[in-house]
Amino acid sequence: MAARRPRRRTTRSGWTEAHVRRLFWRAGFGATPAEARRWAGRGRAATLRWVVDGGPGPQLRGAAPTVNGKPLDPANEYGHDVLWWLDRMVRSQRPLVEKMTLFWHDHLATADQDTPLMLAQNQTLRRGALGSFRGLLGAVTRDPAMQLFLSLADSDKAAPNENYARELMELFTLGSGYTERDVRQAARALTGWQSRYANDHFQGIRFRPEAHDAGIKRIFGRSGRFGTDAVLDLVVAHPKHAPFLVSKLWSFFVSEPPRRATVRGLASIYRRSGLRIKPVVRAILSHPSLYRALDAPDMVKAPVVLVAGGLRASGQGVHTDDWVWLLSNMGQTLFSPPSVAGWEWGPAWMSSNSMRARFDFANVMLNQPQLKVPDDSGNPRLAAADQLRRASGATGGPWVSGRAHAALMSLASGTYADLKTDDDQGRRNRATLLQRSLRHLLISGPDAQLH
Amino acid sequence: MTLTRGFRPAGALVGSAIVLALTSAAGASPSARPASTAVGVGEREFSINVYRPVVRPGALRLNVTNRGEDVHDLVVLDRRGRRMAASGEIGAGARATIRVTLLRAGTYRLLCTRNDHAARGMRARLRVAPPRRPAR
Repeated sequence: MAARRPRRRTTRSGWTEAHVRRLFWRAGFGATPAEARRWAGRGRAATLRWVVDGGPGPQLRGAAPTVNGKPLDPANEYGHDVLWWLDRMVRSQRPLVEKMTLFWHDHLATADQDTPLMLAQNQTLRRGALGSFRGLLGAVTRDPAMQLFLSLADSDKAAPNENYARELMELFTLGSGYTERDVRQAARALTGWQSRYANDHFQGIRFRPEAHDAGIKRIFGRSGRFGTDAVLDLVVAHPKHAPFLVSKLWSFFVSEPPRRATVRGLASIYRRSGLRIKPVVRAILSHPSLYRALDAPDMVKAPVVLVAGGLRASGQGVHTDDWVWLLSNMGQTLFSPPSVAGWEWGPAWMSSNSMRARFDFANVMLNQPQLKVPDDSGNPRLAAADQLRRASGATGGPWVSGRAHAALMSLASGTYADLKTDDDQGRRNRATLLQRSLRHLLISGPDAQLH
Repeated sequence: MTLTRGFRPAGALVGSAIVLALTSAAGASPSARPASTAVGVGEREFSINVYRPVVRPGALRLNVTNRGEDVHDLVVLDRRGRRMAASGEIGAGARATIRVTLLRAGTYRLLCTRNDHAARGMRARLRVAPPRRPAR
């Protein structure tokens, strides 16, 4: 429930603001109270349609990001790449596209490459976020950042590098159901890509047929003069592929493991659609499991989801580079996943160090103009419930459990207990402090970490 | 030259607050340095990539990231081979910012001077284009 005790606005289909909040957090970066009200009123089908297919109008709304009053320079300024993407998450009118871009950035993880290459890869992931997986896999296989990261670039027939072939099967498409021989043979088939330099500048990747092993390979029991596209066709046609990918997608949105029948159903949707992502995501976002226990969220917000969600909720844009070091301290630097396996999601985000960084995040949030409580601005005449309502309104109406709500009310009710009734200045100071504390707790408390 | 590794420590919040308070009290502008153009540079074994390879004459900040596994450095030479600026050692995964003012149009060379790194490919060019003509 939001800090304002819930008004259950329910349509005939049983679609409530709580449903909208759950969907908007899992498929994006949260819902403001106004969004929750609007979409609860429009009903389940219309909401899902808007989330999955998007609406008319510009993709980004609101003021462009700035740091120290200047536009971002994502390729050249430290951390501006992170801010550039964070801004898209905050201002996007297609939050699912940004969330899926984040999914692919984790699933097809690439790191340690030059910033312009990473930015270009990010656009590739965004373009293919909800399209054909085979198309996305082809684009990523040819992507210079990925090729350089997994040494597919400059792997030639004399000494095929197995890195990409191995991760292609283990992490990107299958997980199991292949042999060491399949990996080695696929590595041969993937040879021929070479990095190009001219005038001491990287010029991209090109295919050189003379570096490609054109011989016969045997992969998954089939023989042929396979090349790059043939290998990609083979892995996505493998019987393990569809269950592997739909299970990974499911786990991105839903905390409980999928039942076998659910995996079978999603895999069938995936295959019947011609390996398209959007129908699978639509099915997951429509599934009753996503809406289980609306009063007890159990997925830990990833750091970037926490930050983007906090900014969206409080109506703020990206106007400071503090978010860069905060995200890093919370354990998630965009464009820099820890390994080819991506980040470890879930409770792993909540180490003691990263929790401290989440408190720091609340400190920085409270220093932003929209959330700052100026000195001496407290109103001691406000009742406890009104104080909490004011704090909740400023922070975008975050969900709080009944237990947390009671604790916050207790804090607000007892805030003047030790002051004399005629101590006006003391009561005003205490009201200011209370408003800051409530806002901080709404942003940093246990409930705020979950969606 | 400024050497950094990773991002600001958690204690930076306190530092920022103090700096903010001091500048506000003095009524000073947030930055006393003249505006400079950022140029991202990535180093690894054995290449140097310049993300903004053409700039206008003026103050530059070369934001260098060592994406490799070895220690590197970065030196800026003019066309006569005179050293215009240099970083110190930049460890694997570390960053360094080199401030340099290049007023003369032309091509400058960037290279790593450690061991044989330049000969193995750690060199790049930065072109300073002639200044824009003022609009009539």
